[in-house]
Amino acid sequence: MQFHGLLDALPIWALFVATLALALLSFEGGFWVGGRSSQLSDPQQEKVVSRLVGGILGLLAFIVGFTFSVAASHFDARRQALHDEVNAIRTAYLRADLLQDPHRSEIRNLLREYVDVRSEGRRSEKIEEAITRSEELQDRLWSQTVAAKENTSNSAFIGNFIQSLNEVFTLHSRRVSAGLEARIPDVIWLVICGITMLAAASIGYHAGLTRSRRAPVAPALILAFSVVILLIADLERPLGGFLEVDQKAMTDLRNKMNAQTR
Amino acid sequence: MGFYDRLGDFPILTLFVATLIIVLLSYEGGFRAGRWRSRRPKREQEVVVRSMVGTMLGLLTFILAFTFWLAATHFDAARQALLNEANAIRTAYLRADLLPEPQRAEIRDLLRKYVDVRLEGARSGKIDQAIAQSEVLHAQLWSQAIAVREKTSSPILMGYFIQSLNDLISLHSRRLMVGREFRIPGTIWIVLFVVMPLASASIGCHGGLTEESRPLVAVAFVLTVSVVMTLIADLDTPRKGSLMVSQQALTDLRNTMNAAND
Repeated sequence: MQFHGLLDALPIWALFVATLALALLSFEGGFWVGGRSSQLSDPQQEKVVSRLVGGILGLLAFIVGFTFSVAASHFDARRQALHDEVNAIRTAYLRADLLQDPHRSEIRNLLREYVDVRSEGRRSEKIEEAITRSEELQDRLWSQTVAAKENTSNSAFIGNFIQSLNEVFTLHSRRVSAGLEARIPDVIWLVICGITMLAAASIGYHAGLTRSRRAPVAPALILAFSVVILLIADLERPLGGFLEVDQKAMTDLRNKMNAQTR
Repeated sequence: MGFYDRLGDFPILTLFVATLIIVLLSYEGGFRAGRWRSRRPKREQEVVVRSMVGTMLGLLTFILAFTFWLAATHFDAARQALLNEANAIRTAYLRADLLPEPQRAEIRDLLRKYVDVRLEGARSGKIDQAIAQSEVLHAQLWSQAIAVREKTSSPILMGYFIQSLNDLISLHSRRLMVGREFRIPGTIWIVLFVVMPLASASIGCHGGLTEESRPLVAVAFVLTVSVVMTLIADLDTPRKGSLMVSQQALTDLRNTMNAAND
């Protein structure tokens, strides 16, 4: 997780500039080394180098593309988890109607607070604190529900409510794991960085070896890869960054709950 | 990111023409640059450029294919959400039989109205109005259901109805989410619009280095990329364009309800 800390601490644009700069430097390095080596006597030899460079580039494209799709699925999973949670909270809030009165309003207040804590935590980015507060509220919700059990005539109603409350708890942990734990492993990031540098260096080497000019295509290729890596980092970042899961569903729920109390 | 997230909202034809122009212009620019450089004494080696262009194309292909897949998934989710909703409404309609009169008749009326509101919203395109009306109907349905609580003899049967009503409400918000948020994220559009011209310019540059005239296949390439982009945007907006989610399931449901009513 340390590497993630590092990645998350950097602003997205700094990451982009760093990737771009490192890749361009590797290209220059490769170009310099290639230019220093003796010119190839046998054209056959050049073909071997060309194949090898093609192979490295193909591998890089594949790994970057694959990581991109993993990051996009993580993004989708976070969105889905938020949405399921909002639905579960709404259902529990409605079903509180099935309980008798001091418990009913008590539980509704707790649920309102729960929604507040969750949207507030998301807004202020104090995630750890919001998780702790949410779990406290879950305990209180549960003890209210158990207390409601004592003075009810209808155990079937309690059962319906309990079902929806358990759903809320389950979805809390799913959101935590989708949001904070489902990340691209550090090793994959390291591999992407390593292969990007190697690939840039080998294009440079190839160009240097054949005594070619620096083709304008090389910076274009490096730019394209940097942009895609930027996108991956952005999709992966649960907080901050350009892409964030839209919290509208939670805000809507909160507004509706507040409207009902008045 | 409001603007970029709505990139898919441009009229399909505008997007097609814009993509076509961007790709063509960057190809032409790349071609001219390549031809100009090929006339200079020390030129780029063709093999070096070739392998880079291949990689760039590979990256573009992968990202396009993946985005296409993402849009197709979203389209499918929209269709699935509609089917699920029709099923949930039907279930609630049937389970209303478990409730005593007058709530049963009341609830069935409300459910019929609900289907009408949703069909009307899809037909006239006044989505916001349909959403507001639907939410009013949710509240009415819920208060009817809770009114039964006081005088029911069998809370278990009532529990079944409550469950189906909660499903119905959750599927409403799922449809909202699918419609509003299951979109291609704005950053992916940006990346596509960066990588696409870069790739096309590189192909052009490669062509300019090696040949004097532009090959006819270039036109095919430009067209293919534009068509795929357009298709992605079309799939991404299930409510417009030539690809739209069919409302048939709801229409069928409405007819069954009417038949049962007569």
